[in-house]
Amino acid sequence: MKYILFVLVAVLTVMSFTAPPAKGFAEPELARIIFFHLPAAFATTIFCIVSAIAGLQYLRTKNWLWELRCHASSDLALSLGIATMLSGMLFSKAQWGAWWHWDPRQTSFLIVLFLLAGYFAVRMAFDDEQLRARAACAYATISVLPNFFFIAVFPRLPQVADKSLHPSDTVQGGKFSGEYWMVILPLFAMLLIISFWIYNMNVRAGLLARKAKDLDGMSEAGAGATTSYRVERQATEN
Amino acid sequence: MIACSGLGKRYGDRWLFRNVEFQVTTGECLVVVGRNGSGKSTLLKILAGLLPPTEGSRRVVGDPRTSLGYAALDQPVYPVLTVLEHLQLAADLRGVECDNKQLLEEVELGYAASTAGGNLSSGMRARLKLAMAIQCPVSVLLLDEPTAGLDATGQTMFKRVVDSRRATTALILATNDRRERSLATHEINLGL
Amino acid sequence: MKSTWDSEIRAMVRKELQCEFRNRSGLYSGLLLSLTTVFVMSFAFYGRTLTGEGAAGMLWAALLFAGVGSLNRAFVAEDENGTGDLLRLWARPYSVYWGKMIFAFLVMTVTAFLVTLLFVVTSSLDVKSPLLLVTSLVGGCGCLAEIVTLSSAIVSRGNSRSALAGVVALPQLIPLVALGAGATRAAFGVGDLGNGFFTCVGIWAYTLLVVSLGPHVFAAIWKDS
Repeated sequence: MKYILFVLVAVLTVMSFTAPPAKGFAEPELARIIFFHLPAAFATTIFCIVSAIAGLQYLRTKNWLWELRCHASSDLALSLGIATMLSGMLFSKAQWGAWWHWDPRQTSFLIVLFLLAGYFAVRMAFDDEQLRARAACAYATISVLPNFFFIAVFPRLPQVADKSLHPSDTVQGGKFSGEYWMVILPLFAMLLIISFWIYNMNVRAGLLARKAKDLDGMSEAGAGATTSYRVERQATEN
Repeated sequence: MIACSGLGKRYGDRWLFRNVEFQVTTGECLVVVGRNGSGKSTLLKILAGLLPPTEGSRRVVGDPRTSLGYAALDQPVYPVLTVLEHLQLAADLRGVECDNKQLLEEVELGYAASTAGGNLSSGMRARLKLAMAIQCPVSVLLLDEPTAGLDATGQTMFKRVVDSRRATTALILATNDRRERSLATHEINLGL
Repeated sequence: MKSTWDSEIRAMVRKELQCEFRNRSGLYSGLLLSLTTVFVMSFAFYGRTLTGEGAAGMLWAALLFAGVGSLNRAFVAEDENGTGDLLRLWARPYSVYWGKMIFAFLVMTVTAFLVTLLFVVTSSLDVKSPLLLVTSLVGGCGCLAEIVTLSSAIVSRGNSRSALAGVVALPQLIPLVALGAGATRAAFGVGDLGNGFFTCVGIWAYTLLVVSLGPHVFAAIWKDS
């Protein structure tokens, strides 16, 4: 699996450099940043949704596996979100001359990052693991609404879309050539495969950590941790 | 009736207790003893549904709001609500009708019915919490150090209140007090 | 007496009102915070006429601060004082939630209408569509109350809960502020009124989405049943 992925990464990297420059950009050669930027943005959205679904499932079932899934997907959503933001800033510098423009799309995505980072702030605030899991999963569940708003609704509001430098019409308006899609789509698929691979490893590592913690208690012989507390009948019953 | 099986609570990497199992039925009194920090109050909080356990489960017969009474030494009350308003709020939220004034007479707090929670002494607060715990005809009574802060007459009152409910209630006490331990039909020791 | 949802929710609202009116600091500080926000921001408009665009933004920023300022009143104060456990013992989660939420809505609505009235009168703003202004404010207050109540409940048993409540609530309230400012701008005569009503529908849709999710999430985190 690892070797296949390695070959895929190599092939797609070569393809991203051999694809023709995109038309309609100030620096068409540097528009290749979107080969990574766009799939990362899509993947961020997907992991936001996975995190919300897993959070909701944990609240419903109180099954730890869902909490671990929620945590792993929030982790990936934030990492991919940061990658999207950084590649977007690089694109902004190359195409529009400045790292940051207070562009509505840039700003709204920054708020998405704040929302994703909020999950970790909530987790850090609890000492009790059950209360921590509940609060973090509840946060992941409800933050899907503002996340959806900032990713899908806000940039398309008429008063916002007119003022944004962000080239939304490249994807929706079909301005990309077929060769571009031939690179973007496989890159997106590959990014998803790698992300879900990491996600799966995180969940498994979390499960093992939980099992180890449970066993830790078992090994504390004599400390009261392993004692099965027996109810003793009193001699002087009332 | 209240029962728990495989109950455990962990804070960080430290287990307070594990594998706690018991069943207490009407007429029985389980006393939970143990050194400070052994998890007596935590166990009662878990039994009352105020804290989630790390593992295991607890079961109470009936709707816990009306079948379970809980009073704890460290349980604060609303500073701006009067004693009577506390009881009225509890009755309204539980959906029960009861003679709150009579209840206050039973715990010998009738004279302070219109006193705000913030102006109560620790002994008066203990009486109010006991009144709130026995407001409904509860089948399970969870009391965490119930006589701490009570004077001699208060302790007599506590004994009378508990005795009058022994036949219809499963009682669980968390305490190290010798007089309270004398009520036990069963005992469980959490601390070494 | 048979336990009914409405009697339980009424009891919760009554308790909130009793606590609030006997200790008025929360109400005063919420109102003062929003008024101060409005007048501090008005420094930016010295020597210039306040446009509907600027006024709408200032008004919603003031309401946002009032909402965040009232975060402590919902569940954070309850768990800080330790009285949250009394409610966990006595009440069903949905009664607690709706009682708190209705109270927060009442406080937010009173604050919003007082601030708006003062703002409109002192700035000599021309309200082109009072209907749009009122429906946006009412919908917005519902959403503010809901998010404030839920955010407060999520963090109420954590450490540094007061600071954390703001971190949790603020980003969730920004969509509301964006939509609210859009609709209010149209009510003040800037831009197309039809677009304003469309944005107002957006406020209500966001409110309904949050309201339909909030109580269930709350019930799952409030108590170990």
